[in-house]
Amino acid sequence: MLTGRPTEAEIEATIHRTIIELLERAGKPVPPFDEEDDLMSTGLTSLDLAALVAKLERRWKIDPFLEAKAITEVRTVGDLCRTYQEHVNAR
Amino acid sequence: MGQQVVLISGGSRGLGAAIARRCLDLGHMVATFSRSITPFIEEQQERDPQGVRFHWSSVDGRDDEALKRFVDTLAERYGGVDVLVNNAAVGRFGLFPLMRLGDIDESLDVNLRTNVLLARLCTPSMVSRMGGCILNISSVNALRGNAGVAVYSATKAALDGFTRALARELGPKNIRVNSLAPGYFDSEMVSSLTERQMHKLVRSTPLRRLGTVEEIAEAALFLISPAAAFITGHTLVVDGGVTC
Repeated sequence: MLTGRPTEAEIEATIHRTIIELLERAGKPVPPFDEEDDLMSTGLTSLDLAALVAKLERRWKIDPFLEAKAITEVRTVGDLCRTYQEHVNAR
Repeated sequence: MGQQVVLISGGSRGLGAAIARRCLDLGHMVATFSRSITPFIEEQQERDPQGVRFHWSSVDGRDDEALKRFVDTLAERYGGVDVLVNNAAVGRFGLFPLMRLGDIDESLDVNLRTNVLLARLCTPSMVSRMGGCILNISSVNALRGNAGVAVYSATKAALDGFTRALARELGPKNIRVNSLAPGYFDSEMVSSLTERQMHKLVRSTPLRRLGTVEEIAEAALFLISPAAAFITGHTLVVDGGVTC
């Protein structure tokens, strides 16, 4: 059934794609990365991370780091995906 | 200087506790509060179970009524506050666009509002007694921009502005108001730094080391002592040369 709500896999794919877009926009190489990789090891800077959160907020109308969660609790790509998976469909 | 009643916000640990310890060594009466008891507080209570020269209460600095009760108690027990050291602060660091609203609120409340409110509660009796001293603990982050400390810097810069304005306003009543801006010293706030970050900090410091909490406390003691009797409205930077 179509609910209009993204699945966990869609959320993960969107986050991965957005990371790649940000790296490409910055002219950086895009390394292979998976859920276990440290976010910063992808080549994102902390300001890129802020841009990533802003892009995801435009898409899903939610910023989990505004109130619910501290960004310092997010270390890996998987941590970030899980944060959005928990919050996007909980609205 | 005779015995003074010194109220220290955030005096249960770190720099606040070091200032409290030195004040006690010099024979002053020290009052402080915190939400929960710490080893430093327990040590002082064991030494002075009657609370003759050391007074502590469990108070949340964000609770206006509790703060007022605390200051009222000092007036009843010790006749008022001679010296207020506004040291309470939390360090909520991180990239500003990703900072939680709750962390912003807490920083503004604890680092600024609590300290401004304490000054508001203590200054009427200082004015009526024509004397007193306020020391606001600022930071080199109030003077220099650094990434990751925007809100912390804003609160400390606000305290410096508060210092200067209050010094003008209360000077005619013989009340001195100063700021102390420590640089990086061995404290909980730098304990989370990586070895690489610590090395970078040391390299950027002309004296090539972090300060010690005792060195910062000594500067605080100077500013509240008669040796600083003609100093008011000043921000004393104690940073090993970081801002020079």
